[in-house]
Amino acid sequence: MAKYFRYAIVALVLVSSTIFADETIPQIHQRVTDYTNTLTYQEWRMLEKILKEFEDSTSTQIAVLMVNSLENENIEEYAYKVFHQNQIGQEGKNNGVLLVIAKDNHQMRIEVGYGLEGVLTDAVASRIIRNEIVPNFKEGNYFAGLVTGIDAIMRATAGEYKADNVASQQSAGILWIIIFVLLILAALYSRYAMARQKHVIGGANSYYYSGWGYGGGHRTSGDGFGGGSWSGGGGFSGGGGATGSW
Amino acid sequence: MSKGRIITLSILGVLLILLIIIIGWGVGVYNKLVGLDEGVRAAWSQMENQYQRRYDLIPNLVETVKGYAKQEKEVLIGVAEARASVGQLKVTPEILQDPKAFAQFQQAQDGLGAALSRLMVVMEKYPDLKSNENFRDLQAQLEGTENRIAVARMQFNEKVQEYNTTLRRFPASLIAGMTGFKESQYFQATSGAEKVPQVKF
Repeated sequence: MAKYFRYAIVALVLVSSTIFADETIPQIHQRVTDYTNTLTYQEWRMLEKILKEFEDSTSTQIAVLMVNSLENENIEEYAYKVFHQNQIGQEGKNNGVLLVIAKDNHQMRIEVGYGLEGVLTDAVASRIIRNEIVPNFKEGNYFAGLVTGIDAIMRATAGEYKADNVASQQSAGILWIIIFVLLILAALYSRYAMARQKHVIGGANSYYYSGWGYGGGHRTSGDGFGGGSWSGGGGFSGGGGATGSW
Repeated sequence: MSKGRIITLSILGVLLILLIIIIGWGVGVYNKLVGLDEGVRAAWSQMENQYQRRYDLIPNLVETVKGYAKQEKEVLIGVAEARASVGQLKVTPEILQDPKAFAQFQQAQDGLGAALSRLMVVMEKYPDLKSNENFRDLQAQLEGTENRIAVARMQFNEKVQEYNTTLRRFPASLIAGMTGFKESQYFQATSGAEKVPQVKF
């Protein structure tokens, strides 16, 4: 009987969490979700690809969420809720990282899953924001900031990033070359795919969805990339990470 | 066998079955309470870890600050005193059932949080300090820890609420009363304490 009771509770919790899920907290279906229309399709695809490959080889899930405004919520709470709702990171390993960018608020936060707190400490996360992302964002180079930031986060989770500026620039340089090459290849592959892109990149519930399928969960786009639904693996965070502004 | 005897036996049988059902139910409730109680304790120790982390962070932070802002004696002493009163707390698992000790714990910890956020506000006046990488790391660690404390506190309160609700609800309350489960204390939202102190630079 206790067993049925437990099932009933689980069912109830599941139902209620769907019904009462905070509507302002987005359910993300892509590693990179840009509600601000800042990234171009190519840039978005590049970041997706980097993060996917990283996840495939390390199982560490890194997600990026760009929103316009936080609607009076503080970014710590917001990031925690998004992390919690989407359960970024693998279950048991809790190896997820969420980078939230609130463009109008000029604030960002790296929320670190429980299992990565040892390598991606608050201090390291803060340095990544301060030294890698903020300088780029200040000049309006959002994509560059994201690339260097993500690169630093990836290396930090591998225990390599020690906030050494010189080293990080060198390695980011390699990443840039890779991106450059990929960008050219991508441009060749999907020349005609570039024409229409007036929609929320990665947003599954996009009203602007134009049938391209780089909104999560929809069919894949013509060049066989994008689409596919990504979701968190069941990880949780204890509130670790760092906040910064630019 | 006489008719009377059959009736007596079947009544006894029914009673026995009822008894077994009741005992089974009681054991179920008891086990559930044990599970919830464990949840509360785990959340509590998780939170204590975060408080400890903040406590351990302070000497380093104060040392760094002293190098730049010796004249801020008052604020620094405030932090030292608040830390000392946290250090004096005797924290045992029994604190969860002891309203007075629990209130004391919350007061001391909140006091330390307030003293630290005052310190951080004062540091705004020292550009040299603010551009010191070491200080910025410590600041990030402090912010992170405060945020973790907020999260751990919230999770603790959720666990307590779940436990207390089960405990007090009839008829589970009968089993709880018989087996000595007591209500657990939880954090009251004090002004400003439920929010992460806004330490911005």
